[in-house]
Amino acid sequence: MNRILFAVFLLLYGAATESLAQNFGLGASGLYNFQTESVGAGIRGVVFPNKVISISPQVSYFFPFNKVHEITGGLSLEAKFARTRSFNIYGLAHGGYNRWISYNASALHDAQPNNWNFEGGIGISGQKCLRFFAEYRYNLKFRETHLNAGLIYIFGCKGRSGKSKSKKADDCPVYR
Amino acid sequence: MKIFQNYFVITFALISGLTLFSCSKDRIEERDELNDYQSPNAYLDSKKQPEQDFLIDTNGTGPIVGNQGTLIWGSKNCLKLPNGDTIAFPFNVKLVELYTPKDMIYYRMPTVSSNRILETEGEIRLRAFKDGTELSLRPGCAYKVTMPNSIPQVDYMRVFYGFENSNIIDWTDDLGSLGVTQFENPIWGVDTIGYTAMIERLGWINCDRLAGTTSGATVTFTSEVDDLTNVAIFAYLPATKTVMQAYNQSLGILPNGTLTKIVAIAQDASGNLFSYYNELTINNSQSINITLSQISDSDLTAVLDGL
Repeated sequence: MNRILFAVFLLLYGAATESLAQNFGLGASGLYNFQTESVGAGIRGVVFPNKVISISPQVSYFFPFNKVHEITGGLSLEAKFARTRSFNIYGLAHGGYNRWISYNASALHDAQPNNWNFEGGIGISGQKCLRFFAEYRYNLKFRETHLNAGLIYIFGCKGRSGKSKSKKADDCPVYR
Repeated sequence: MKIFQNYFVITFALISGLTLFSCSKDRIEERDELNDYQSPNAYLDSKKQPEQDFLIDTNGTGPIVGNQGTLIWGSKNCLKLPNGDTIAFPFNVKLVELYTPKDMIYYRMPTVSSNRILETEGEIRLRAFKDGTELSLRPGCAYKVTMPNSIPQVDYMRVFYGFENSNIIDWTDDLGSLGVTQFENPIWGVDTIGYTAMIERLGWINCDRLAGTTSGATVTFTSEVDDLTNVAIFAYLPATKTVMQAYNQSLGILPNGTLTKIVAIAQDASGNLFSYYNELTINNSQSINITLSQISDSDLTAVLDGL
């Protein structure tokens, strides 16, 4: 598991340093699943964070002290349908592999460790270089909702308070 | 900003709808309480064949005759104390006779030799005591035993001896492995009474023949309503008259294609009897989900009589 996390980190970090100015962001988040009453943490990358359609590879992990201990890795597609100077609102669809580590402690009849999840949801994100985001997502397989909120740093966008110092970074924050 | 107000209204409605109507806590639901049972051993002990006690106080021609027709001939001179000393009259001979699957189940005495099923015609436990001290046979000495049987098979059954293996009585026809040098024929002879053999070690004795191999099917028992921890589960294979007992809810090894009768017995804290019965042909390893039902003593006895 640690190898997978490390590989994901390297992948995201490598991509981030590939001169993807404002085309790539990296962030972390906290998660709360309302149905399983579980707390987790996640990391994610965002490709084309300022475009209408963004792609977000992400990994989430719900800690062992929870009623549900699991890790999920997958990919989100985000479609921004409302944009202001300070925030975006977007819809998202996510597909991923889920490893339910504590499945054998569940009374669920067909509980199994390996699952494919599909989620839909809605989110809001800021426009600055270090931008907040918050998502409310629904897991179709387990019929559960969870809140995912955190921060994403957009590479190549170095201005304070989101103000760019470079010409190239003038697109950040984006509002057209 | 009006458009965003609309979005927030839509979002709020979506979230509320998902949360209220479509969500599930199935993954963290508590498991249903399983029915809890006590060990049925006290009940089984109350039903098992008694150990018959014969006081031997003088020389005679024999035989000692058991309740179910077992015949025993033996000499005092063949017996010895643990230190090797001879004994004097009187001494006691004790006998348990198990000739039906019901009696073998009551006594929890399956007919399996190192995971290989045995075809059986009966089991006895033959012991001798002097003032409460258990005796053994001298090397080169044997007791003659006849087991009643209406249709014995010639040169077919072998003498198997029981030995304790991890608190379970296992069976072997290799006396050498039990530290006894074999000098008598290990095949049961046939006479007008049934099977007759010379017994070279006291204890559990079986008229058996290996019927299974080390390959075959394993059956695992599960239940969604009953805690099987204290449930005694047995299998009876009519073709070979084999009795098997499940340990840790697992039974094996059964030859594929074997008609198998499964009996599970349990008792709750109030002493009520519960059972499960099923007949099936085992064609491969499988898991059987069982549910126990309350049963009377007489009905359970009838089930075991019908095996």
